[in-house]
Amino acid sequence: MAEQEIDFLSEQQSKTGKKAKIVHFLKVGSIIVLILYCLLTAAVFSYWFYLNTQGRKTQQEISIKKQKIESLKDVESVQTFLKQRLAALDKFFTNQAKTDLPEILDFFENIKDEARLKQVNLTKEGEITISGEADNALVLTDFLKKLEEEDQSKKLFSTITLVSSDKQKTGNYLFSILLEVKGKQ
Amino acid sequence: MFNLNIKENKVFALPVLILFIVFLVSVVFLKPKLSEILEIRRDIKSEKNNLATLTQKLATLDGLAQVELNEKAFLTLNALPIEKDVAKNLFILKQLVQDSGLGLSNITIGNVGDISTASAQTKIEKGEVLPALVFSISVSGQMAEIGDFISRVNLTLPIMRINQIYLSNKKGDIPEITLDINSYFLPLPKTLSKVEDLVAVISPQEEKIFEKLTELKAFDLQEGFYYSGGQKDNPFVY
Repeated sequence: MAEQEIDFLSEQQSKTGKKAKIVHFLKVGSIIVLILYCLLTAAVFSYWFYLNTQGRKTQQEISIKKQKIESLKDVESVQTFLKQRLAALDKFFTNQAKTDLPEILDFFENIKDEARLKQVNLTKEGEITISGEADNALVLTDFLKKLEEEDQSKKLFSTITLVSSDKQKTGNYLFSILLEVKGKQ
Repeated sequence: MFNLNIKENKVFALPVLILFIVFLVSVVFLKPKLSEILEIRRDIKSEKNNLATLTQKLATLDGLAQVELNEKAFLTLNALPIEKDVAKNLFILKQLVQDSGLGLSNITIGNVGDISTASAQTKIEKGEVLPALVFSISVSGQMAEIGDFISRVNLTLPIMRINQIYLSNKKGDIPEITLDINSYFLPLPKTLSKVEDLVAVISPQEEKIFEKLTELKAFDLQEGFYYSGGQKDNPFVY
């Protein structure tokens, strides 16, 4: 019968080999981690340095631009002044009614006959209030009729309203008429 | 029992040391640097926006022709003086009355008490867009001449508008008329924009206003006719 042997050394050698592998893995792994970490730290530092340089460069550019703008302050002032005035005038002209006052006065002059106009009030909205005096009801009626029926009146006014008509002790009539000008804004 | 075998555990010293170094560097260097990086990035972003605005502003300012700009400003200054200019308005109104062939009876300045320098506060009447110097002018003449005068007022610089007309036309008499005229002005802007603000751009609509102004008549005030004293210097020199 063949003699049987137990090899205790082989198992110990195997254990020592595994341990050596782990130790080797830990050593190499640690060094790799350290190298990678160093690289990461270097990258972070480089990026921080790059950003700082960029920041300084941008600040320098801003400073140069500000200096140039300061040197053009006069131009900017005139432009601001111009803008302020043109904006105000734009608002003013937009707000103004397109009333051809000379034509309207000329029209009143042509139709008034015996009636006497005393006051013409203009509003920004394009309304005109006229007030005046007529010797009698006939004169007033004639004036109102002309004011309503004349072709020019239809071109000039969209609505005509007799606001008041008061008979005086003398028999004269004081009247007030509201006219809405056509094409008002 | 737990038995710490230093000799056996010596192999773990290097990884532990490395881990410690990593931890230490992370806390002392990396974390503050990362926070700083985030902050710098935010700052740079904001500064770049600022720089873009300044570049745009500079380009706009470079593109403005100063001579043309001054001419335009001068015209708008004629249209809207910086303060109540009584002498100039009186001269112009008198001239317009003469040119229309009317007889001048009287000129009254309505809000004379408010005549002031540009630095004083200006009041804007209800329904008005601009502050105004109010004149009441009495003239006599035919209706056609009065119509001509009104047209001239509307076509003259500074900007003037007629508010009210009082007629006095007795039978057989030459009509006499009293007109309330507003002569508009506008004080200088109180503040100029910040360096970082963009240049105010003139809109096409406002350009049209400028064209409208060029069609109006500006009086050439000669020496002796017009005197404006005791006022602050105009900062806009043309």
